[in-house]
Amino acid sequence: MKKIYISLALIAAALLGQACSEKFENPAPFEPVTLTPNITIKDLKARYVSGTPYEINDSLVIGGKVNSTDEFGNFYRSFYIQDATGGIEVKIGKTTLYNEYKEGQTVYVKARHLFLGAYGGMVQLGEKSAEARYETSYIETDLRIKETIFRGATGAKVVPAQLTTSSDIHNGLLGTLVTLKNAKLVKQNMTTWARKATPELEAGYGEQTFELEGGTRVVVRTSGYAKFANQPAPALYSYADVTGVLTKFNSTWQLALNSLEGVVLK
Amino acid sequence: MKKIYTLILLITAATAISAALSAQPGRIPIVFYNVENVFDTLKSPGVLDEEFTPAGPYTWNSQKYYKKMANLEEVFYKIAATAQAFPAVIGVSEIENRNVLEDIVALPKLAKASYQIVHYDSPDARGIDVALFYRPDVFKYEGSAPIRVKVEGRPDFKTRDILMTWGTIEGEKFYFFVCHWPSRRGGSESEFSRVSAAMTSRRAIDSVLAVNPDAKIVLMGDLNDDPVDKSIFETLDARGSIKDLDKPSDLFNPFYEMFKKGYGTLGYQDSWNIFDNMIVNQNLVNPKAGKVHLYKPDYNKFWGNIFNKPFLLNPSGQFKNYPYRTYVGTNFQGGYSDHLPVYIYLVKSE
Amino acid sequence: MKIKAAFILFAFLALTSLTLEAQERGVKGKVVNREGRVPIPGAKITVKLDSEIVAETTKEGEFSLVGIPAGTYNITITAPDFQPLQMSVKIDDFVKDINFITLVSDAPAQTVDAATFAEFDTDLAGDAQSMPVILSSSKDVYENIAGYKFGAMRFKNRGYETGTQGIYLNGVYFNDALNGYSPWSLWTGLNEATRNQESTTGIAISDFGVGGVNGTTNINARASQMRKGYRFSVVNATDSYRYRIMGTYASGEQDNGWSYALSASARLGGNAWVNGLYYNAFAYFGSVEKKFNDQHRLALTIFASPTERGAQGSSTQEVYDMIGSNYYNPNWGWQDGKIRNSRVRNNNEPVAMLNYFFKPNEKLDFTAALSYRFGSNGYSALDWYDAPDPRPDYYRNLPSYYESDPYKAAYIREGWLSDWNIRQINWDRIYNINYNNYSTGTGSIAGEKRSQYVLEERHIDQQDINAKIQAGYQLSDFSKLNAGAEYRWNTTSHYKKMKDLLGGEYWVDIDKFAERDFASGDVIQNDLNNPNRVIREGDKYGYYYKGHVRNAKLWFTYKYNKKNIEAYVAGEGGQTTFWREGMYRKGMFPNNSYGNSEKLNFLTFTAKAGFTYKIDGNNMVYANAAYLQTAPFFQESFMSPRTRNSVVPNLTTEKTFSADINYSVKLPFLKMRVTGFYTKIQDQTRLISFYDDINRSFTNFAMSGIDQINTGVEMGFSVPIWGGISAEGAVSYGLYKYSSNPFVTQTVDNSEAIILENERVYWKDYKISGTPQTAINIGLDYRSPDYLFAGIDMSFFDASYIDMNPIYRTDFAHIGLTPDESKILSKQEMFGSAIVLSANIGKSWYIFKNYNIGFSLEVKNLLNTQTVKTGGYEQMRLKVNEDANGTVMNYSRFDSKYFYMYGTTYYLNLYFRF
Repeated sequence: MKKIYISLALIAAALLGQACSEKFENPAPFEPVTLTPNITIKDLKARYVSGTPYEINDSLVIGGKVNSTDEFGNFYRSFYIQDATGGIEVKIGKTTLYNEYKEGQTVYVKARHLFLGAYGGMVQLGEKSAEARYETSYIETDLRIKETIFRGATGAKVVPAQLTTSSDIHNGLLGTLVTLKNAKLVKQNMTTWARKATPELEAGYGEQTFELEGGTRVVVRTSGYAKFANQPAPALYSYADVTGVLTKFNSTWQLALNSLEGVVLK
Repeated sequence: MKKIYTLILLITAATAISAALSAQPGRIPIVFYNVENVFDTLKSPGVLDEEFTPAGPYTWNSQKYYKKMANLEEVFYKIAATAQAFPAVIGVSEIENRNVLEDIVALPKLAKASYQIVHYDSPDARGIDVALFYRPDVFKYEGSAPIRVKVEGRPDFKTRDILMTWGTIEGEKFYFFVCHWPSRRGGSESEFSRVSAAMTSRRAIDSVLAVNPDAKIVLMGDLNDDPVDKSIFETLDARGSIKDLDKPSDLFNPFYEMFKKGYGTLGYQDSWNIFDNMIVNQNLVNPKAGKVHLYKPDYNKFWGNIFNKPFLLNPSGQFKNYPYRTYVGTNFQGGYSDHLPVYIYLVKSE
Repeated sequence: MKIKAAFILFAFLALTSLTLEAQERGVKGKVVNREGRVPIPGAKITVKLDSEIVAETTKEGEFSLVGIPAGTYNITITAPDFQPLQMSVKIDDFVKDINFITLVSDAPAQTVDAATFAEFDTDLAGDAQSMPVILSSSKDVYENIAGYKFGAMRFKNRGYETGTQGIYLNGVYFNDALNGYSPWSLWTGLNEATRNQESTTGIAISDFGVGGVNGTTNINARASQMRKGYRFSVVNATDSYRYRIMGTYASGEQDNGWSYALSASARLGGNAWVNGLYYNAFAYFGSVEKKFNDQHRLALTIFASPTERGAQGSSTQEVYDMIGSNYYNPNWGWQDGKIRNSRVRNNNEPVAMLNYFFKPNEKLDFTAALSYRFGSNGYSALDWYDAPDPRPDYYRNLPSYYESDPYKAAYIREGWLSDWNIRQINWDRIYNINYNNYSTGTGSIAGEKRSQYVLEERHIDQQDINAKIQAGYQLSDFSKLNAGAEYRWNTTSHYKKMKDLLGGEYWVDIDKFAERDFASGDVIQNDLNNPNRVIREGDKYGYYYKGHVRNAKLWFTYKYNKKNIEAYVAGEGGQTTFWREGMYRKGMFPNNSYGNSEKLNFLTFTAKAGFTYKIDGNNMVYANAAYLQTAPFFQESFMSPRTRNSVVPNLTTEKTFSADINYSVKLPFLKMRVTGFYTKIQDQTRLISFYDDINRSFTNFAMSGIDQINTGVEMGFSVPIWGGISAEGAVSYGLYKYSSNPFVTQTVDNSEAIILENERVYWKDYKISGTPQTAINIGLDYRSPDYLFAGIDMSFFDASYIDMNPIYRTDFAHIGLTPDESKILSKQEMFGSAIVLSANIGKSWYIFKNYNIGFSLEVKNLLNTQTVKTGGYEQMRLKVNEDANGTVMNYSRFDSKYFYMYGTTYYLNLYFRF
């Protein structure tokens, strides 16, 4: 009698022991979305009137390939997309964007109730700003991002437009990926691409000014938070092919590097 | 003829000498002890004692029986050593039958006292009885009888008889009642059964005193109630203070005061109970009534004594300081009893 | 013809005699003498019926009287030279065998003289009545209520930390070697096996050692100490696990000296209030014991409680209010249609113990014990690298972060309410990021997915050996001396294990904060001996060090108990040594991380004395006092044990002084105990590790010179009212507060840069957190004679304080604040008072005398109050307030996080025992 009870108890315990930790199936890979843009990026940017943030009231949809990455720290809380007509900065507001918005990936933006604003002359797409000093703010909130920004298929990285002479640069290229071919480093504010923060000193922007054939100068501006900030810049007066996103601050052309791979010394 | 005379002379002399020798000055201890289920290891027909056989749940075999016997020997012997005299009368409860009693009195260290046995089989379902041992050199036995306890309205209620034994000590007539009143199984509703037992006891005492008002009465036993409870305090009317006694039929319970002061003979839920009582009548505290009376050494506060020496208590464990029992459930502990012995002293004044 | 007649006659006679035989009643026995049981032939046995029936014993002393009708008779037995004997015999339907009847010799009785009891050295006072001894087989009313009913509010007795209560297993001190914590988790789920417990309260000493200031409990978990028989139970509950089944068998001590016991249980499922909490826990216990003879006994006990359970996280009131529930758990998310908790505890820490008992004589006793505890103890957590913070209630994901932008705040709120992946962990997103990360950074493997998110499991795996010998000597009837020697050897491995790569294929073992600051080089390595190590599931990574603790002590207790005085003195002295052994050479600290640190030695001692005066058997007054000097714990002694061997500055022993005075009364109409106590603890140290937003680094916050005072009164009472009803209650009213302003030094974890040095924390007179300082319970209990019990009780709690962030009370944090703003930053929140109602009912039945079946049902928080804070802490963060230009103006608080008491829960237990 005794033995039966003991055995039963032990069997029960063993059986229960089989009910081990729960196993969870891996989630399905994300399905890319396909939307049909109904306006070009150029036309969307054209709607902005200088000095006033423009609220997009129509159900406008733009689409483009991601041409910037924040993996190396030079871009922060936004990315640029470009279609055949031009590029625009999307102020999404999140960090480590490269995890979900890969270079070359198609991204659509349903822009209804988003705002167009300018900063230093560059039109950006963002959220309504609550502060007077900025025309747009970051889209930021998860639900809003879910409503507006849609990830499409991944694809090959954007092929940058090759700029060889000054006449190749124009405003239509703003926000797109370009390569300054054979540009000459004519001015630098430090010998490294930028300056990382130290206990004594704050981080500082590095400005390496390159000149295209024809005299147009483009300032390659690098954040002190870039991973390659403390890497040495090329020597003054050396030549290089520099690839990055073309921007403008008021009247100055600027280039933002994705990574040092975009710099090929000649 | 001459031979017969010499013989008579010798016998008389021997009797006189033995009488003289046995009438020692000094204390006369009277003890009561609930010895916790002393059964023999054999199955007795007609009673439910299967539990206490080698095949039963208690696996009550010779090894355990002899251990129990050795423990009983130790307790009685140590009480005797404490009192510096073998108890004159020992009342016990929870023994199965005479066989067990015979084994107890034959224990080597107790043999000197040459105890005689008074015992009747009781109607209790489990077969446990009360019994009395007496030293024939101190207590002169005259007679005994079992008194049936009748519970009102419950004609089929079976419980232990009250054992009445009478005789003389120092020439004075004594009546000893050994009781084991009904248990507390059934909670406070069981009170009525002990009240009935108290009523039976009271009637018995009253009828004895009606015939012999000088009789000295000692009622002892496991009453399953505390001295303040209804059965003892009201029905039996055993009082807590000697001052409250007027007439021979008034009863004094020396354990009443002890209970109020937190003493106990049985531990339950971290409190002490005194279920084991020893009650005397006024003739034992009245200096005018004969020469043999209740006695208390000066250094003791109470007229009653509880034998609570450390060896009778659990030395360690969760139930430390509780009486060291023979069994906890069906688990043999090898101890003494769940009750502690109680005793009083009698002494003959000059 | 003649033959026929003869035959018939013969048959008739035979038949008659047969019939006569069957109807025979009577009594038989053997008459012997008292000494030696020598048979007495020729003894006369006389039975009185209508006439007298006499029999004589044979040569063997035997006699037999048959043909006596049923009834009770007086028998007289006489024999020459023997005293006559009278006895009564009850005759039934058979011949009763009364065995031996002993006759006492007629010779003169021997006198009882001094020689009879010569072995006893007793004077007359040897029969002085001893006072009744104190019975305490179970905890008194206060201890019971404080231990159980106050538990709902995480009540800490007398305001002390949990580790102050000494927990012993079979006489061996078992609190954790590294932090002193109570080791209940080692035998959780083994309730039946650990039911046999002895406890002491407060400063009192125990039978197994000197103890501390918050009582001791010794658990007798050995085969012979467990209730004999079978016990089975099934539980259904809603307050922790959903189901529990348990089975136990104990043999009790058998005649051959062996006893053995087995117990097993399973606890499964979650509770009714918090998602993500679950139990997948089992427990096994086995013990075997052999009593060789009355002197020697040996026991072997082995048990384990392999437990997996999901943990609850707390959150801020803002989150609770937004969701509409105080039971939000941020630790889980939906995966595969199921709730997956990221914080799961996984313990399997078996214990084996050998106990030996030797009692050579009545006065002396020896015990020896050897225990070994080993196994693994892991706690999982999400770890990530350069990816969005996965925590759903990260402060930037809350509406309060958008205080100045109501439009966005509304979106945040709407997101929380409409999307589970925003409200809880988004496992989908985590896996997808891992699926798509073909990294090219340091240590990457081309073509393989590098996890940005992983599930790490932090391990504290102990190897703990205890050896103890103890001797007790009964000096006299009223004094006993116990002494013991103990040695503890402990080596504990601390490391992180890769539990789940969450859809990725590898991880690279580098320090992400160092990489952010230094990009590359030796300094970013976690283990220079294995740079850029590729980590797969199951590998150790991140940090790996061993803590070595060695502890030796000697102690004695002397107890005196005579008449109405009890007293004791006790002392203990010991040495504790510990050091760190680094198993990785950390890139940031190549010369101070690998190998052994300096060995830290501390001398410890304890002195105690106590006195009890028994006014009478019912009332007593007693007082205790103690002074202790204890070593700091390993866990508080190293600046950054995960990275280097550096020792916390100003490390010193803790000093505790404690005294209490008590009165207890046990009368039939009142049981009560009242206690007043005062304790002062000085020189405590504490190490807090946390991520500092301002310095954007993981930092270590080392505090020293922490003093506190715990003082108060406690009272428990029980009053029988009528029938089986009694009233019971307990009150604890205390003042537990800090009594000094400690020093703090804050360093960056992976650079040793000092952020704050010897700053003061101004928290003198602030309160000790984590327990209500006022707790009152009152209830009615009913117990019926047929094993029905029921009860209802009400508790009142007040004065529970939040766990403080010391930074909020430093000068540094108050820079630029107005006096009013300063007050707000420093103020310590006191939780509101609470009233909780509970009830219980149960009944058991005895079937066939031996089988016991029953149930008990307990319902807690009958009023379903869901707004009672049971605990909470200020976050270790400071909010930086900048002006329009980005200049830092001042700092302010982050929201605190809270735990709430569950609403109504029940616990139903069905049991079967035999």
